[in-house]
Amino acid sequence: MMELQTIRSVVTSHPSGDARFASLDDTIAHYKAEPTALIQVLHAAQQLFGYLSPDVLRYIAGKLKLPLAQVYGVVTFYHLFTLVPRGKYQIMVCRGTACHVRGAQLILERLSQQLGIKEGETTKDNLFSLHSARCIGACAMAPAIAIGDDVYGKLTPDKVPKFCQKDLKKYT
Amino acid sequence: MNATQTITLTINGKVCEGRAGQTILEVATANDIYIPTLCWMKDRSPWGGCRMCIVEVAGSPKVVPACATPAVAGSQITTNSPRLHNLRRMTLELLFSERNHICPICPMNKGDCGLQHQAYLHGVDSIRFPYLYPALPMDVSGRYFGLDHNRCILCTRCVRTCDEIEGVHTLDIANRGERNLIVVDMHATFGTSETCTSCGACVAACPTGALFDKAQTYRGKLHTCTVVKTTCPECPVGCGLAVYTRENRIVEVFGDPESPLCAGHLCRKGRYETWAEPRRRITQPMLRHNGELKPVSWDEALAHIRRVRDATPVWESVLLASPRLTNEAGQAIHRVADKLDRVGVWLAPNEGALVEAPEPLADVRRQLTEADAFILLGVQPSRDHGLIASYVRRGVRQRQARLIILNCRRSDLDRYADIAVREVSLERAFWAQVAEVLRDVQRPVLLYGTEAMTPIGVAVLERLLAVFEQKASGEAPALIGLPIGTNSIGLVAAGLEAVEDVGSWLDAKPVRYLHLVLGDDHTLGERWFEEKYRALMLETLDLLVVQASYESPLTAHAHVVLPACTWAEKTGTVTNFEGRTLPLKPVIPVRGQARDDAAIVEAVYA
Repeated sequence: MMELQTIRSVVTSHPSGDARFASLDDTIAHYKAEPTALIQVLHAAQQLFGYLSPDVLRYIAGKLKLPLAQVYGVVTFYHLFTLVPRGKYQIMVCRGTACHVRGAQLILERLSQQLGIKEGETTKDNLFSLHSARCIGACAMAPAIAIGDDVYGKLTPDKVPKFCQKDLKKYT
Repeated sequence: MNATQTITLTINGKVCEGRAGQTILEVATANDIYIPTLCWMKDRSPWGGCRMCIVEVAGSPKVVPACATPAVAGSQITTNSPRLHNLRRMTLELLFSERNHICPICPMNKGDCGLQHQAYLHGVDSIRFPYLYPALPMDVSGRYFGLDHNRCILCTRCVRTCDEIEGVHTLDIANRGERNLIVVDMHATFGTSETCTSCGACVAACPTGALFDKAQTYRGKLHTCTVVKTTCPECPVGCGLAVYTRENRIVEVFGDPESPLCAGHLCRKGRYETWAEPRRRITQPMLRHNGELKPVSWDEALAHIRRVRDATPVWESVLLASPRLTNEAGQAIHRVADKLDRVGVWLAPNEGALVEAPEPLADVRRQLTEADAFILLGVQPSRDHGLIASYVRRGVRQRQARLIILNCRRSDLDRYADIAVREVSLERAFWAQVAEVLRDVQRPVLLYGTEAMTPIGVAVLERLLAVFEQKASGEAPALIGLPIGTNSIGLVAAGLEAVEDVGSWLDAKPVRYLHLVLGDDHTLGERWFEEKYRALMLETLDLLVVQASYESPLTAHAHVVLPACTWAEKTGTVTNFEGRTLPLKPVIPVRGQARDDAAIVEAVYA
């Protein structure tokens, strides 16, 4: 009899049945589906999925009753959110003042060359993504890079190939 | 603070009066003091982003944006000083250096561009900053308008208009800093957007040529156009149009800001379908001779009709009119009704009960702008009454109004609904949910359409009214009926028979003479004039007279074709859904030998 019936209070999850959407639903429910909780929900979604696909954004927009364009605007405003999949590990090359004067740009170029990816891209094995940061707070070790909680300091461009062969092998 | 409290402040040494709560810009404007603006727009939330309206307030070291700063009693404001002039000029130079503003290839060049106008006012003859020359895309995938990011100054007038007026929020700003870009949905285009209604309000709001109407481009400067105000012919809402013409051509159609219901906003139909016209116009009478339609004079065409009519008995002669005709055409038809067996106006299924002697509605604008609940019953505002759909979206998104959609087809409004049901159940549990949604509602509005006139629709309506009767508080719902035909109400009131099922109406008695008064109807009667029926009818008819503005399958089968005026050439009135009589005024001269519908009817049956 009822061909189409949508009632706001009825909880309907993502049609894929992906358990991660159920977890996202918990977060949304925690914030009572308030539109003002958009950033927290996006945060949770990125934790769950690794990145924010159009499908996920559409799902969140529908749940929070927000326009697609507004959700997209917020996602693209913040550096933290990504629309493309990232690697398992994030290599952060510090480009703060101290690192900059000690050749951070050259470190970044050399890393890019060794990994075969540009800044913002991910290696083919989906292991590493290359980024730069304004300052990671390790100025005494300049020039420095960080992978997760590990910090590697006092690098030179010539040390980069060895670093890639030895140190990066720890991350699998 | 009392909102009507009068405050006094000094602007440029002049003592000015304003109301508490007004901005500096509002007080200045009311006192005939000009402050330059770019991102500010009437009836939109202030943005304060362009920094053109900066003013000095005595005692404050900083300049403040007049559009977003409340006027304070006793303050002393300066709107023009060398310092302000230099700051504004620098802002303009930064705007010009940021994108690729190449005026000679912009349709807004010389007179229609807000940015260029400000540059002239501030004597910008050179840019002291290096140009960034960003490589930017443009989107011309939309049917009626395009977006050239090169000309965009990110004033967000389009974003605010899309959000606050049409209520869809298709546009927003993506990215950050110098990479900011107006974005459609999630990086879609106008052609692929899931939410854009193509209302074109963003284009009307754009101060530069970034958003531009394709059909208007290079047809002429808007500020050199003649502007005529008339009534939109597309639906019974009857929005006011401000039609821009030049050299007897329509250049652009905007909403009339003084029109009470639309207040300058239009839907896609009014803004574009009225004039971006792909159909072929008929400019002279035509007569079928040896199987082919040949141009003839009015006298020949009328004489031929008269000959056939003299040989055809009155009881086998009928006239059927489009619901788009004016009241005057309807009255002319009614005056000659004794020379025909039946005269009718074709309506949508179940529309008759909606248009026969409806109560005039008062206060509709207030009801729509204050409603805290909308109930839609058997009506498709997104498709048939775009302006009403924008009121519903605004209510739901800005005032958190409740929305219940019953017995309507799927539409974009479903997304905002608390309950959206295509076929209503009469189960108790369902109505308990309806009652729950409406529990705290104080000022509900019930919009109903043709499908509310079916037996099921009436049963649902009774249930709804019962829900309101049992409510502890709140007003009874304001009932607003929305017919489909532009002037169905006026034509039925003029005495034309309401014809919902044309096929059976024609089949009821033998017909040998059929006069179709189409005017500039879009549907061209094809809805009922099916292929199989068309052949059958042509065999039995002695004469098919089609009176129309445009070529169609119906004119192709006619024995006589009579050229009629379009809405843009007509004088007359229509009656809208509120029962208000609205004027149609000619905006361009009559094309070729076309004549007004009423005059043609009078000539044929003289």
